[in-house]
Amino acid sequence: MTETVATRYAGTRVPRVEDNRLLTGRGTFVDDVVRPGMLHACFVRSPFARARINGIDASGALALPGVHAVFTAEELNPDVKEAWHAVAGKDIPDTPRPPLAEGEVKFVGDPVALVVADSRYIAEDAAELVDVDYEPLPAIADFTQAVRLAAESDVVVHDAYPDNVAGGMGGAPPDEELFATSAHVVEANVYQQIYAPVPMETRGMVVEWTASTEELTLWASTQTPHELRAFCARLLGIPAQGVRVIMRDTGGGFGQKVVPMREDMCIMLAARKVPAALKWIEDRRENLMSAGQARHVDGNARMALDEEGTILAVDIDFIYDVGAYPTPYPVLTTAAVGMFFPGPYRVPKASFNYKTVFSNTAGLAAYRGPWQYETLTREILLDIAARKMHVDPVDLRRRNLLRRDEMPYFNPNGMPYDHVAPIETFEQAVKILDHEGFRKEQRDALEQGRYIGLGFSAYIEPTGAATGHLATEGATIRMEPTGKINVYVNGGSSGNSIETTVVQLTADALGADIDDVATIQGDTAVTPYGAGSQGSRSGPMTAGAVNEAGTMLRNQIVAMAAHRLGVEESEIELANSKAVVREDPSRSVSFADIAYRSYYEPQQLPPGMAATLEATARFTSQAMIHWANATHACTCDVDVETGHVTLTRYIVSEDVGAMINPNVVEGQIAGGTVQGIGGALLENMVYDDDGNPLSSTFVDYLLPTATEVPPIEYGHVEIPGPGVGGYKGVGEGGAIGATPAVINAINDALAPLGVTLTRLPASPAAIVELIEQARKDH
Amino acid sequence: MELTNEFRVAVPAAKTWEFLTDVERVAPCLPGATLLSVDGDEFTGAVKVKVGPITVSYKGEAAFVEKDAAAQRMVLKANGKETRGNGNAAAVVTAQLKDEGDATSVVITTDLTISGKAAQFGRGVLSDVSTNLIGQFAKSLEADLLGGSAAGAETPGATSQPAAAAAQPDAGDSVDLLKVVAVPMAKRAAPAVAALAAGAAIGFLLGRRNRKAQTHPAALKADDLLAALTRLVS
Amino acid sequence: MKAAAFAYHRPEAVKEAVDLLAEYGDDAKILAGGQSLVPMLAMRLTHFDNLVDICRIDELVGIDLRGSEVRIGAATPHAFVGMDDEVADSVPLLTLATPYIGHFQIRTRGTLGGAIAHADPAAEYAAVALALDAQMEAVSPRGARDIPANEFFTGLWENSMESDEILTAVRFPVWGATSGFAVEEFARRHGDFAIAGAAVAVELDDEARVSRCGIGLLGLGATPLRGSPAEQAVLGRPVGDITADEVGQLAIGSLDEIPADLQGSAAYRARVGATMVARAWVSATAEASNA
Repeated sequence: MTETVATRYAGTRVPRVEDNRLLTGRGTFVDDVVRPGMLHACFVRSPFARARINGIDASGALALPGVHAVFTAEELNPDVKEAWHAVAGKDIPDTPRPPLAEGEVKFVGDPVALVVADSRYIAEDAAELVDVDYEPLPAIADFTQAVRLAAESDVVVHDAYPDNVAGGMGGAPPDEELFATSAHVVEANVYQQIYAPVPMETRGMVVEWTASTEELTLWASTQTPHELRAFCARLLGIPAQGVRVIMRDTGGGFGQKVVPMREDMCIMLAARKVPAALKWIEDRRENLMSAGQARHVDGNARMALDEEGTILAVDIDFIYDVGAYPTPYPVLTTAAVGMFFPGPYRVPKASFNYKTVFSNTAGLAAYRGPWQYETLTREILLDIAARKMHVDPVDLRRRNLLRRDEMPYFNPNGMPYDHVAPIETFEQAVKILDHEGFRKEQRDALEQGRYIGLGFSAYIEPTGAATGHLATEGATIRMEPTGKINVYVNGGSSGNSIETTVVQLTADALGADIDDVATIQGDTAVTPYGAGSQGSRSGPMTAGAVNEAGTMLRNQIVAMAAHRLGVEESEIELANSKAVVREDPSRSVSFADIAYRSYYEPQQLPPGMAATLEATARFTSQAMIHWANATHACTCDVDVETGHVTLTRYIVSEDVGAMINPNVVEGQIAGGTVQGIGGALLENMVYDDDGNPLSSTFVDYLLPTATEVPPIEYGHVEIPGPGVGGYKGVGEGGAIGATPAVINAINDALAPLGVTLTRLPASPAAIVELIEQARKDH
Repeated sequence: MELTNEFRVAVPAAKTWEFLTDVERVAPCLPGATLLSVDGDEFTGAVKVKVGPITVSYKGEAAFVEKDAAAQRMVLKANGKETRGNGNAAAVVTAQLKDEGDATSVVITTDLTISGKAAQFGRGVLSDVSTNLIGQFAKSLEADLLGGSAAGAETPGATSQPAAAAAQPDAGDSVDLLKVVAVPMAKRAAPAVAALAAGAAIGFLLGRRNRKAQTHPAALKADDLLAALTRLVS
Repeated sequence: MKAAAFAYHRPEAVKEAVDLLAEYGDDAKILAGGQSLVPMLAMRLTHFDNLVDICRIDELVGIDLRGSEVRIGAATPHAFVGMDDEVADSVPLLTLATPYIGHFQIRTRGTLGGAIAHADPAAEYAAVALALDAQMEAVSPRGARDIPANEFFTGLWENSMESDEILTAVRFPVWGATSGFAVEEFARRHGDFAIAGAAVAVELDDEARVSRCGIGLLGLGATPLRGSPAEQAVLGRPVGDITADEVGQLAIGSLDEIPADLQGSAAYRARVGATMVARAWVSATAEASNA
């Protein structure tokens, strides 16, 4: 910023502007939206993992009073005009994605028919009466068998992919000679279970078609309102000008709501065939069973080190489950696992190879930090190497983590790291933990027959990647006739506090009092285009956009004030919603007065000065990526009789550049961390051999609660990023670093028993089994 | 999943074979079953299984796909749909008899697939429950084969877990058959139990009430089943 | 997850409730706190044309110390039981078990009678009732009768009451002064269904020998169970001579229908169960020894 404004709010713990309405139950989520005559949707879903649909008899359902329609693939699917997503682009071949199942159901929960009725109660009554004639077929419940089953038994998820392989990629092949001759080589098979985003608000939307004006309005639970609008217009072949998406509050997304999926398509397609607005809100079982799932990977990783423990090479070879109906272009986001595998370390050589395969399960979504598997595997492997070499995992990391003076650093896969100092976040974590003190505590505990352990994980992640439609962000800032300020950005606020941060940034840009600033987001009729919340972009991108629009508007305010006060523009300072003569603060004019003159007495403005108090700008990010980095450290206590793991301390030492609001940064990290802890210990979407999802309610799908997570301790390192204000993205990191830190803590605790857990989750039963196995092996 | 149950009865193989291929006699051994129609080797029926407050009702058909008297082997294929809800149960039940002179050993292998809500819960395990269920069915078969003697205690060949509180029809009392058919499934596990039970049960959804016409299920009275049982034990 | 339609009845007296059950038979179900039934209805795992809500029946709510027994009305919420001083003094096993029942909100609505009648194998109060040889009071059109706890739980979610009987109260015996009580439960998270648990009551005589012992087991069968072999093995023996591990192993050793499910194998549950019994034994005997 310039000397015209003193930064007042950026960097401070401003209370969230969203909280008043959210904490008092007055948010507007999809299910709060009520439209005149609104109808309700309920999907009939497949009970089979794979089956031929021989016929659908909806007569029983249609006969029920209050039922308006039962749609099948025959009625809805042909209306699709275009169904590509911006994240992939229109020219990239995509996996099949029919709105309703066509001819064959491919996972338990696959939507087969859409019932529309006066209420959800009646719709569920009717759904029970829809008679679908299924012919069960052999299904692939275990993705590790997908390729074999296609080859040996002709069991194929999609006919267009007869080998069940959605895609794959390999970098340069591993240097086998290096692996054969290095002083230390470690290898691990790391299996990660399916776990899922689980937003508090499930997927849903209300779609209302107004035939007289040919306008379609959608109230949606989404992270990307503008892209939803564009997608919808393309899907239905109607002009985008006639489509409006409104998202007021979205109760969590975590990647599950970045792109509209098949059910969303069905509701959009059905909207013009029903006489009133149509609401769909899925229940929790539907969300767990058929919304996007994630992180299901099986792979082998290797690391070669020299005698002193310097990393020489890493290699990873894995298969990734994409389910039956993955989000667009799963192959591309999966490559990130291979590309980032070397992590924030000095690694001369790296190789990777992978396949993405289909299975008869729901489908892959890009869950917060979708390439997490690379950090999971690498950090587990580092600890295995440390134990093998009889060195402390802290020392091994210290030797290999990158330093500030090595930037910019090209990782062996060509990733251009910059603006980070991984060794610094690491050392801060070590200090906060009191590493020496813990090792002593650990020795004492072992003597008493208690097993406590310490785990670290370090990662580097790309945030705010500026490619394609993600590369720009628009902002409009307007001073209202009353002098209050409104800032308009695209939206995507789904629990990530971007209303608050945008208000802070705007208040600072203009020298306004924060109470005088409000934001309007998430309404495509009113806000500028933006790619929404994904890839941890909202912080850096809205900062850039607010800066550009803010600068324009600030200049205008200063010009008006200077004229009003009879001084040069350079003498004016903006603060507390006033323009003040710097040398003589008693001379000032309030924003309210400036606005009043501009809107109501424009003839008082100097000739030639526009009366405008509004600025719109579109910021193009100059930085391709804003690299962020953190180290997580976790201590735990393992009850070796029951296998129960208690986390005793949790530390996150992170560098997200300058912080717009430390509360928001910590909140984002905490949320991601808790999700990562869930993935290590509790969350597990299990499918049985027939492809039935067993964890279909919260009785079986276990989320971490406040009683499972210790208070999280934060350390901040602020290495400015390349963008405006030095802000980097913070949305995903917590979820990436947490799982391996917990696993490493468990392995550290159980090392004396010879236990190393590499197949997740680390459930109590799994831990006990490993302990008993290790006991037998000795 | 695959389930195996065995039992041995002190009844000659021929009589055992006759019993097992006679719908009318096998049906009552199946808890919660009612019968609808018969057409040669094909049958339709309904099963209502109750586990605590949970009930699952299936309606479907079954057919003998193999009745090899020489090899003493029969195979029955059954399929049922939930009447309320969109679940399904399918079973292929193979009964293999082995002649042991005055006794017969019977091995029942069931290949069972359950789908629908009942199969989508993790608390409780299908296989344990189904083992118990088919075990109960096998026990009933045993008992009936022996002529309805109480409790089937002397059946050393039974490898399945004993079920709790399986009320055996006793010709002497006026049996409340509604109670018999609602015998609680004594193993843990969720609605999975119900579906599973039903699934295996469906394998024996047999019955013969009226050869001439398809009968409304409600029309089948408890008395008719009782009459069939009485004939059996006399 | 919307329940199918049903008729809702709200009787104000036990007789009315009993009459409704008799009238509707299998088409009616008692609704107490609804913490088990309502989710099943919402998920359409079950359906009843009539729900008979007994929570407004005053005579079914109450905690009453009557000499050597505490009588608790069936519609008494868990939270009342857990907070009650008389219960804490006279039947501490109930007080100790209460915090394990779900969460605060569940305990505010869920009822003792509802939990016991629902007969989940992991129900805390059911295990306590077994361990203490409680008496269940049931009422039907034919009158009232008592059912001892060891005859009450007959199978998964099944109890021995007739379909037209209502559980109206449970009477828990009060143990002597030289007793100790403990509940140990292992679940994935606080409030989850127990993987395995134990409710242990032990009474010592003047010479620190076990004069009485009740071990209720949770999550280790189709119903709540008693660790009878362990109870019998410790009777009459000096408490110092008995190891906790021995008690744990004996309690679990004879169980032959230990569940296996998503949370673990039968062998795992057995191991955890033995550990819970052992830990509860240690606490209970420590308390009894210091009493």
